[in-house]
Amino acid sequence: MGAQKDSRMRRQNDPAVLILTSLAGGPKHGYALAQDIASFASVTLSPGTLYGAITRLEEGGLIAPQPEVDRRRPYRLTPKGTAALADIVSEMARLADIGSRRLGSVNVRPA
Amino acid sequence: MSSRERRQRLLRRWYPASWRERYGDDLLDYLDDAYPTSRLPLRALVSLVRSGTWERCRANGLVGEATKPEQRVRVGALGVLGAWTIIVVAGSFFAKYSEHWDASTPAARRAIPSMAMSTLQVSAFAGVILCAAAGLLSSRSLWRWSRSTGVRHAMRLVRPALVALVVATTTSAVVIDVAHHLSATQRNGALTWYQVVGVAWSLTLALCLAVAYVTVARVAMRLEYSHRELAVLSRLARGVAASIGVIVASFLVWWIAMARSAPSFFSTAVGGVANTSVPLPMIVTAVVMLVGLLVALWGVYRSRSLGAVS
Repeated sequence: MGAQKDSRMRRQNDPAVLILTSLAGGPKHGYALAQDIASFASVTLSPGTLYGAITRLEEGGLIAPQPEVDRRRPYRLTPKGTAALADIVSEMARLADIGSRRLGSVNVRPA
Repeated sequence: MSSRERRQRLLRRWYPASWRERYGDDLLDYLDDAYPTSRLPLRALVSLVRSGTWERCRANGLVGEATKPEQRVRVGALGVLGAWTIIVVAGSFFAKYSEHWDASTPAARRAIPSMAMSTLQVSAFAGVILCAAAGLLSSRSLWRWSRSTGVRHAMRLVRPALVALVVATTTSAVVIDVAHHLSATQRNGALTWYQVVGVAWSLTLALCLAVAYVTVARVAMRLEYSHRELAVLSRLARGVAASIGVIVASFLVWWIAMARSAPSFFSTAVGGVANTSVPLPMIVTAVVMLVGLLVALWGVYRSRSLGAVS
């Protein structure tokens, strides 16, 4: 997954972004990922969506599998995945900042 | 059957083997964790079917960049051939529908529809030549494949197309023989049973064509092409797609010209309704042709990627 494709992951509820964000907290297997994402984003990823995104992220070298633990295979962020997530987060922060400032200027404007 | 086995069967049905090999156990473990006792809810089932179908399309080179450029060229060229099959069905119907159009068109107004019809026929001929050239190009690979796989196995794979050819030839011979014993009036709507036979024959030919296409596609996916052969195949696919574009454009020009020059033709033709130049048969033909054109454009898009091969 090159830079061009990474740039498509911009929405905060994009499954790939949610998975990268979850793995930033440490390696997790599929079910733990889904549970974590549900807890911090209130988004329930369906099994097809979750594993479709895992497939794409692993093919792009953004995440990598680890040795099995209790028959479950955890995934971890790769350095490329960490860089991609940092890029996405800073882009989101920039947009959030612009949005906040504009909302602020709307709120102070006299009616 | 245990729920694990049921789920394994579900994955086998929808996901490609290569994907199952890599992620199958992971996904089954996930499903066991997420839905330990109950059957899979509809949402999960739909999600697996959708995702599995997508992965299958990706594995076959129909979408995405997961397969090698060579595979995408092959799939794209087969897509264009599929589009050509669609155009042949729609075009054959149009050829029958537009029969004797010139008889109901004033001589002074025949120039544009006549030019459109001639362009359509020349493009159709060009398309046939290009498809035949693609077949000729594949003959060496076909020979190599039939030798390596064994003639018996090759024949088993090709058999549906041969059966379709025999069925199409036999039914056509019978219908043509029957038609020769009927008058022009009887052939053109006076006999209800002959009309029913005509529709059944058309559907049989369309089915035979579909079977032949699927067989060609299954065989072509097994052939080994050189880089040079694939490059030529890609250019031939572009040529066929261009001829499809010209056919669709000519068809539309003919329709518009006839609607302006001889609108009564559409009232008297098969399925015609008084005072309309937009009868149902023409709408259906146009939609099928446009679908064919879209499939051809997709095929050209898929087969463009050979440039990435060194």
